[in-house]
Amino acid sequence: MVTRDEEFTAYVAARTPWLRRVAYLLCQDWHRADDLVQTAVTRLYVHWRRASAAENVDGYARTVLVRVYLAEQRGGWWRRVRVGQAVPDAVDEGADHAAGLDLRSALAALPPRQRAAVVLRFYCDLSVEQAADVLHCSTGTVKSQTARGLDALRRALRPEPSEEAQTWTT
Amino acid sequence: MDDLKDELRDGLERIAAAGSPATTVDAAAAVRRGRRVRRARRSAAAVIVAAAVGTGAAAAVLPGGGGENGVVQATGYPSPLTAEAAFGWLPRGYGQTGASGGDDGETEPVFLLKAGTDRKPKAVELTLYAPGTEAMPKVPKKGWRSVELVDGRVAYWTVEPGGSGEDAAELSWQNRQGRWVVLSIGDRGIADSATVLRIAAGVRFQDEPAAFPVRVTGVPGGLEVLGASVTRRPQGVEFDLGHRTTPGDPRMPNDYLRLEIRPADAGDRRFYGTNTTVDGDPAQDSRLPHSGPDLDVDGGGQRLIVFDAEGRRVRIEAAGRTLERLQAAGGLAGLYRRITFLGSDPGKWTTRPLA
Repeated sequence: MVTRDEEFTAYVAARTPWLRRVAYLLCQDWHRADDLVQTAVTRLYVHWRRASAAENVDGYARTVLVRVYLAEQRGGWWRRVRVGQAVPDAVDEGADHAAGLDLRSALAALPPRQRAAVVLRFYCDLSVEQAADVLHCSTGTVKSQTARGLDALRRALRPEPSEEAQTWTT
Repeated sequence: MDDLKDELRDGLERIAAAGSPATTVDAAAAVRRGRRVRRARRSAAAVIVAAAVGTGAAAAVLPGGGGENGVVQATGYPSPLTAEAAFGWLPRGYGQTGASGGDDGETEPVFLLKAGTDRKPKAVELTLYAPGTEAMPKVPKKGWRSVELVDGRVAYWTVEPGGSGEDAAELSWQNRQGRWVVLSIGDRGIADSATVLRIAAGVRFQDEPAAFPVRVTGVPGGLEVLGASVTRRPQGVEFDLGHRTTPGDPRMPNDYLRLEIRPADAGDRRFYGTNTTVDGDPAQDSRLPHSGPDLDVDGGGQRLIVFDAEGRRVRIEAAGRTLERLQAAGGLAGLYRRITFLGSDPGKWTTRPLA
């Protein structure tokens, strides 16, 4: 018979790569992503009886991870400045390297909740309602955070010609 | 925007799939640490239950719940929310459903006004940005169309009527005070140009205190109102009080009070889990063991959720010095008992809900 600890360990081994990817998109740093995942899976263990009985264990784990990330942001708001200005880890030298760096930089510049909303909606493919559950906020807040995040990314990735900007502001 | 979303999805996939250093995540360490946490919680729970039995408490096992008759020294608060705008015209069957102000801790303050029907209470949302703040769509996408409002101001269709995104239409403009306004329509049934422009043209900008359907006494004084909201359909309120390090800086996370009242939902009790009662109503106290998800309370504080309180769900969170002051006067349960509901008639509501 598989014990509770064996079941948990097997789950963590199987899903750590995925959780790290989500964490990396949130924090832009692989080492910090590991710390976030480590904290999240520890909490997952504490509640493993309930988590393992959930219809969607991955969803439960992702919710814990995102909340660990946001709680860390709130608890140490001063660190957000550093994170936002940090140069993202350069680990990929492929053909899309430059574009990837642009997006990483633009993503890193988003405030934490906007970044979380964007990652949940467009990487995890969650609906507005599902993202609201994870972020523990209203659907309206998810929509506004997502829209602001998208707008900031668009401005960073596709700067408009200055003439149009002048037209808008006059 | 859809192109950007597709590009973003692809880009996020590429970034996440890029090479990474070997992981340091250790499942065995999580098990060891998790076991310690569980042992510590069991010990704490045993102490709390023993204390409750010792004092003869049959219910409301709430730590820190000293003198229920004590009153927190309160200085009283001014109106926590200024209604900075109002709809002058709405389509038949629509009414103003809610308003909120403040920020979420990291964005600039905005005033948000909502209108809709019973089935779609947020079908129309008006966002009024703080003076000097750029609205979200400050740089026009090529092809955005401008249109003249009745007051001579130029507005922009940031989402064309009948758009395919989450919003069926969105119009943005600067009011006479130079503040950016964004009108979002979520109901395709009213997302035609004429209707949206008529709603926009009818918006009044004002400074009137918003009325709330509750009064809460014994709220610790000296806090700043960081956010407040009120909805009529369904009826609900939220207050967020705390401190900032300096004006404009992010809020401090370790000393605050948050109060939220919403209509009870049948799934709430199952999702959160209950572990106590308050005045006979099922409740969850975050400091007692519970079967719900591990939802942190900021700043190591305490959370109390009372379900089914006359059809409402009341959620109170506090931390730091504010929590200590509340604990001297009945704790979170004491504050819960000092909430007075003023009914559904807005004429009987108050603009000074916090005292």
